[in-house]
Parts: sequence; structure tokens; C-alpha cells
Amino acid sequence: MAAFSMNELIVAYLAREIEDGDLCFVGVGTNGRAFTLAVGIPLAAVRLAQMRHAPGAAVYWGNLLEPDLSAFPERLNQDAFTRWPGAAAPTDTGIKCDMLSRGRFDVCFNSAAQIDRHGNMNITAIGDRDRPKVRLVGALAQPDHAAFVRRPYIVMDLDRRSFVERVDFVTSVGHLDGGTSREAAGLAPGGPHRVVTDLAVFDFTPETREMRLVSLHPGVALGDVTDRMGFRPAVPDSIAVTDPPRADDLDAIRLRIDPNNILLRE
Amino acid sequence: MASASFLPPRRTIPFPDRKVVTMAEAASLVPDGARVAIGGFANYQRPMAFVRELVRQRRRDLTVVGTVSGIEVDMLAGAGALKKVETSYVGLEKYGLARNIRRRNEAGTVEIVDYPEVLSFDRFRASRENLTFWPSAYLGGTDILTHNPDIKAFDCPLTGRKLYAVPPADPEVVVIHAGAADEAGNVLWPSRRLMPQELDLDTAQSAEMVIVTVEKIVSNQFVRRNPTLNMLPAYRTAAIVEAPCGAHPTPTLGRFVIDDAHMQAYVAASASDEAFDAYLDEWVRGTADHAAYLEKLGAAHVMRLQEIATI
Repeated sequence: MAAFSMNELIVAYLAREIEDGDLCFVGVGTNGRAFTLAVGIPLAAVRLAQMRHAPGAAVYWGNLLEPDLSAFPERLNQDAFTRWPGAAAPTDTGIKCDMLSRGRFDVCFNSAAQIDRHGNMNITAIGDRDRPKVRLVGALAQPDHAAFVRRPYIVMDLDRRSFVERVDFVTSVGHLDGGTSREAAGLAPGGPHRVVTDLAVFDFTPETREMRLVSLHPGVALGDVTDRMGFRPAVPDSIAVTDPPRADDLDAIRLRIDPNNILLRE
Repeated sequence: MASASFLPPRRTIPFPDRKVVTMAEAASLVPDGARVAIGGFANYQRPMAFVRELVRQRRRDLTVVGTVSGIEVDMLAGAGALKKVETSYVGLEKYGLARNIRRRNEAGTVEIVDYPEVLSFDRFRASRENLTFWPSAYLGGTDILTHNPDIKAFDCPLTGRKLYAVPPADPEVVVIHAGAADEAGNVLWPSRRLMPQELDLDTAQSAEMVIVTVEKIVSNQFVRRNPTLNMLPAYRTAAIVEAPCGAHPTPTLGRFVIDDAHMQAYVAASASDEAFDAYLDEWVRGTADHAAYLEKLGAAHVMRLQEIATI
């Protein structure tokens, strides 16, 4: 048994990436693994960053701005949200939408059924859009995040069916066809910042904007990664190893942030 | 029409001749083929008693325009009442995928038009302001754009920037579920509310034909003692229906929590057309009206779903 879980490693990695003062958009998440990836890991990471180096990092979750992440309620029902201590609870959806469109969010966390070489993502349909093989959930705010958030982090498990040469449907624009094609399509510079997976971390090359390996998690070989991708990422000459979580990170995650194993359940 | 300097809001459906109506009367205001917005958000506070009545009346070819859609759209799809939905999401959140609409979309019998979530709200903003489109700058490169012929590109007349004209939501009918209303049609909102309740306000202002199902009809004096809670004055409503526990199995803030067991039974039933038909026969077509539905649920069961009021 490893001394830490992959979820814990990802939490510690993302926590290091979060800067003091960052405002992070967290979705309301669905079930199972999607909840852990979209909600649990991001909230734990922001909390760990707050406890370490970024006391001013904050989350906008549902309609709660700066919810107190030091204690999670037992049940995440509506009533729990109305009673959760936080800095503000604006109920007007427009406030959050306008903050998003005006570029006020620094960080968001996304995952998808498919992501391609240039970080375009698909959560709409697999196969033909009009007679899909598999109909997925739609779009949610993913196109909006990809357009307007400064540093989107993609959090996904590596899988050949998910990491594809070209997504079947572009729900959200990453770096589109690479180069300056994103800007040519009318979007602000930006796009996916990092892709954080269960085996490795990726970024995007500055010129061609294609997915590039940044680091392998401890004990992972390059072949383990490429075997689970449907395209060959750019690979630098020397590959770093992702820093494992420190002992005090693990104590914080296990004893203080998620003692009831709600956020990081496997 | 196009040359008129002012286009009055679409009022394609005549109002009922009195404010307080029965659920059957309210549902009969929605014709086959209507374009409907259904209140709530995801699987919170949906006017499900109204949706069930639409199913009982075997409504067909409905278009639902929404923002973040859930069980209300999935049930209409599973009942064969839905032609099309325009939204940013259809799903059951922690209960998983919306299997009825998924199956029918994959079979080509229900159309889904995808919008980004912010634009799905903006489409209602456009309707509230009686605009003919909402301008968007960020659809370039997406297949949301390439698959939607109703969105048109244009150059901003002031800056020359490429923009996209997104059609407004323009529902013919809006149906929401709220806590209380009086017989005149004033609707009260809880003072401590969340996005689903606030979104109902936005939605209700996007059409003239606004039907409100409520937990309880209260006196006009009650409204006048709480004027700050009267967020939807009678001037903005067309019909009121009393429907206690009318969002079941979804929650109503301050009144009822979600019926977890029923949601799971729904999910299990939505695994196939046959099983879902049996669910509808048992719970919807097999109950004469909302009162019969509540009887079938049972008083003990309903009472256990009560939430201590947060109002």
C-alpha cells in the first residue's frame, strides 16, 4: 500500500499551484468519481493552500462566496448551504455569471468525457452529435470557464477513450487547433493551464499549444502514460517527477480537511 | 411584425378567467407543441405536480427551454411529451445521468439544443428585457455554434468585433413552484433563499403566461404583512394552483427535503422504456390528481420529508 493515495497527491499538487488571493470557481458536481474530481479534490486543494501559503485564496461554490472550508457539513443539502458560514451568499445568478464573463475568476477545475491534444473538451456527445452513440450531460459552464477563467485546471483520469486525438464535439475551446487559432476564433488568450491526471501532469507548449508532459507521478514510467493516451503528447528531454505530498500535507488532509472521507472518497 | 418599432411580448395563450385554478385547469392552459420554461434548478424545487398533470393529459411535442435541467425534462421525455429541450445540462446530479432523455436522444426522437450555462441564463435576460437576441462574444470554435443554425454571427456595429446573436428564451408559458401565494396572485419568496429560488424569479419575468404552483394559498392580509417577501406581484402572474408538496420528489426550500428513496426508484425505473412506462402507470397515470398522488405516497412518508423551515 502506497504511503499516500493518488487523490492526496493531486490535492497537494493543486494546493501548491493555488496562489494567495486566487478566486476559484468550484462546480456543484454530480456523483461518484465525477464528484471527487470536480468538487472534492478542488475544495480540499484550496483548503490546503489556505492552510499553507495562500490564506487569501477563496472559493465561489454554488451561491456561496468564501464558504468556510474549515468544517464541512455532514450533508450537502439545500438547507446546509443556507446555513453555511461564508463571506456572502448572493442568490442572483447574474452576479456570478457577470464576474465570470468579466474575467474575475483566477482558477477553475474541469473534467470531461474527452479531451484532445489541444485541450478542447467534450461533455456533450460521443459519436455523431445528432444521433449520438452516447449522449452526455450537455455543456454546463465549461465553455464559459474555458473562455474566461485565467488558469483552468483540468483534473481527469488518464484513459485512451478520454485522451483522444480530436474530440467528437468541441463543448469548450482549449487551444483549438494550436498556434494562435484560439485567438483567431475570437477568444481571449488563455485556455487550459494544466492537465492533472492520476499518472502525470501536463501543460501546453507555448508555440504549438499541444499537450506536453510536465512531470510523472512517483513510480510512473513514460510508457505507462502513453499507453493510456490516444495521442502522443510532447515529451521534453528531461522529465520531472511530481512532488509527492509531504507528511504534514497528509496529516492536514486526513485529520483536518477531510476526516470523514467525504471529499476524497475513492 | 419585423417593421414594428415595438414588438409586444408574445402572448400566444389566453389567460384563464380567474387566478386560482385547479391543477388540471392549469395544465390544460399548455397546448400541445407549446414552448415552456419549468422553474427550479437541476433537481431542486421543480413544479413536478404540474409536470405529472401534463403527462396525465398526454401532452405532446413540447419544447422546454431551460438553464440547468433535471428530472422534469427527463420525465417529459420518458412520457413521450417532449420534442425538444434547449438547455445547458440535463441530468440527475448525484443520481447520475438522465436516462430517459438520453435513450430518446440516442434514438433520434428527442432533440437537445446545447447552450453554455451563462448563455442559457442570458437567453432569459433577453426575454425579460423583450430583446430579440442576446449578443455573445465567446462561441467561436465550439461545436455548440456549428450545430445551432439559430445562432447568427454578426459584426458589432460599434467596434467591428465578431459577435453571435443568440436567440432569446421566449417561453410561451412559465411554470414555477413556490411557497405561498394569495388568491390575487401575489407570490411570496423565502427571505433566506438560494439560486434555484432566485432563478425562478428571473424565469417568471421572461413571459406573461406565468403559472405558479404553491405549497399553500394564504390570505391577502398575510401578503400585506410581508410585502418584502412578495417578489412576484399579482401583475406578473396568470394562474395560481395550490399543490402541497408539489415539487416531490425534488425539495422545496424550507418545506421538504429531496425524497432520496423515490429518486432512486425513479432512476431504476428509467433504465428502460418498459420499466418507465410501468412507473408512469403506477405513479402518474394511475393517480387521478395530485391529491391522489399524495395519498399514494402516504402521510407518514410525506411527513418524514418535512424540513424545519428556514424562512
